Amino acid sequence: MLDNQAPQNDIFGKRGEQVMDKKDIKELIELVEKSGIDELEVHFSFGRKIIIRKNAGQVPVVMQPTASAPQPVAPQPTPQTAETPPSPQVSATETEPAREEVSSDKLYEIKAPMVGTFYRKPSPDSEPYVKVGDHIEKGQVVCLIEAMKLFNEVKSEVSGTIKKVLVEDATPVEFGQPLFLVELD
Amino acid sequence: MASFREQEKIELPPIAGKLFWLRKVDSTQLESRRLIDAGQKIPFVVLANSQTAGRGRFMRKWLSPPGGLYFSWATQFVPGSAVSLVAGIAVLSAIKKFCSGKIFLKWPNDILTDDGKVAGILAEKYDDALILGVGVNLVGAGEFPGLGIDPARKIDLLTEIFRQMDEIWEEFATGGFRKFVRRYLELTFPPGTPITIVDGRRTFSGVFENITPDGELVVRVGDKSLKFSAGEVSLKL
Repeated sequence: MLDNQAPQNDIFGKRGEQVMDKKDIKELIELVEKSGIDELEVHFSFGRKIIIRKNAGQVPVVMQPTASAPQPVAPQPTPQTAETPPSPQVSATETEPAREEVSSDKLYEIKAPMVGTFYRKPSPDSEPYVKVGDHIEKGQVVCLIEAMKLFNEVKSEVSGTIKKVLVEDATPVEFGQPLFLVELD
Repeated sequence: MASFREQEKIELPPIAGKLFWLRKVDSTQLESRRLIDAGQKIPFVVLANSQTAGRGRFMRKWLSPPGGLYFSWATQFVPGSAVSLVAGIAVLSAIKKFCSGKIFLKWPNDILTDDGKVAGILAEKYDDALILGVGVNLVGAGEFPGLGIDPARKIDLLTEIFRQMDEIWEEFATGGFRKFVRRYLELTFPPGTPITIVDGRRTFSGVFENITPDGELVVRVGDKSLKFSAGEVSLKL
């Protein structure tokens, strides 16, 4: 099954059936809001999960995965039955844990300025622009995003240390998707 | 910075801006960045008779012997990724005034004949500037096919490319790609053409279906239409 067969906003079960809709998610958010817990994580098949986290009065919902271009041209009326599992690299991306304490003052997420394909290195044979543990300066190029052969070097807006690379090399990213987690100086 | 001389004699359409014509440079893209870093105002054009490190996508080497047209145009960045498709329209429309025969665009903006790729365009965002790099094989070199355009007409072709840019750029900058879809479709292979697209690490095979108003490629894969904003297309000939 292509991972783009599933609409973005719904969560699917093992056979592709919808097991949660927006209303269910909203109820979960309300539940967390009212409760004494700070974070709720719900796991589904295909490595998909929902994380609901209390954060300084806000309750952001983090849905994994976020990267799944190409998009179907028309919304799919009903989810397809999954006959085959997703390709290994897709599930690797999906299961990549992206749950850091973003509420911390010391941590900063570098986000995608555009939709496209994320590249960690200027060419397939090059070294990555940055690696985990690297110290980066404000204005330093950290990755490349390409869409329709328009290349955009993404520069860091902060100085700090790369704590985590949140997206796999050569995979699609959405606008605003977190790419790197940086511990600020 | 490489040494260069500013050409006073050649008059390109005003949209091009100042022309820097070099005999040889590592890459007109890199030279454009250096000029911007040194405070050169956009728009401007860097033209080189040959490049020692001409490059395409992912730093792939673009063979740039004397006799080809190699230039970069630095201008104000226009939001939206379809900029590289519009550039493809301008360059191919200009080329078609110089040679006949089957020449077409391959999404997003490669220019091909039946012999293979004869021109390539790379778009890079650099701060607030857009740097468009264009390489045209006027004549073939070794295994690389060419268009069969007399290299003596190089400046005529460059002028025509900017005439085409002048006609379409403002409309694109203000109205987006929407109005150019039809023109693009006239310059590319017909719907129904079998293609393969490699998007990052995934490969899809299907048939070309359409181009969206944002410039994305629509491919029919099985019973689904998928749209791509990135990826490398190959034709199954």
